[in-house]
Amino acid sequence: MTLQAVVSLVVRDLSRAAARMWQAEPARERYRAWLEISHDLLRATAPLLAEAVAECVRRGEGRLAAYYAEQLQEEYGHEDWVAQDYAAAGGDPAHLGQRVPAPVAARLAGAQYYWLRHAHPVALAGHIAVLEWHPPRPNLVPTLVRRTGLPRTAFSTLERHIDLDAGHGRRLEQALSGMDLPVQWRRLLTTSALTSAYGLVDLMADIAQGTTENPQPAGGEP
Amino acid sequence: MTDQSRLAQLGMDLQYATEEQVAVVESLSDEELGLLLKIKRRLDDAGGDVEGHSMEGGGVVW
Repeated sequence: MTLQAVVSLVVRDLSRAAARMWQAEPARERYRAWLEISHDLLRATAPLLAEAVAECVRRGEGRLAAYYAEQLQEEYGHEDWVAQDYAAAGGDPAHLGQRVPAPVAARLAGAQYYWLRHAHPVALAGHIAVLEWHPPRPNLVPTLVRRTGLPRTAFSTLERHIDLDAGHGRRLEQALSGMDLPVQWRRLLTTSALTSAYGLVDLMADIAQGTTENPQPAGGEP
Repeated sequence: MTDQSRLAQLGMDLQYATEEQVAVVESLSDEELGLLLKIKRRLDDAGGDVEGHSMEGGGVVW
């Protein structure tokens, strides 16, 4: 069972969830909610990869460590793109760091922290596969510009990931193709990918339904 | 459980599923199959129609 075949089982569901999210109204508010959740997720990307590198080195998993290290260089700081988009979309970037991160984002990233520390760092590859083997389509941004009435500068995170994710997806395939994993870590890879797919569908459904907002900033009155 | 009943549970048509997908579904553990079913249920719960394909594709970036 290859990871590509596992991910192929959920691609249609992820596409349906994404289409519902992008079509939800009011489009501008939903897009800002998407940016907030994306900030929650993307600020965990580099720390997750750094922990994965360290854990791979500790276990002597050189090939996987090299892959994660290369990704770390390229994924660092993408939450800053989100903050710029948020400002261009009329939001206050300071709000991104002050709000209570969405539980749906914490569940998604939190599962990866758990498996990294208490199982095996290969789990993170399952999470990455679901995200990078299913990149945004090139026609998405012009469609969202039209629907939201926001300037194109509010969509740089999406635009940059259309090309980035396609290249990263190919690199992940190469890294996994050379690995001889024992059966329990192959199962972990599958479980991680399916768990992330569920988390993403959950997250996109929340955004579509407008149920992601947290009313209180972090540190505010409970 | 047969391949076909697993595929039906997942809403997959054997006629359109690839051989590799059928093999994957067969090889999934019950827990892994349960995760796929949770995805279907979450989508069903969310409801709403999708108006075509222009906005499909990745909805979350890494």
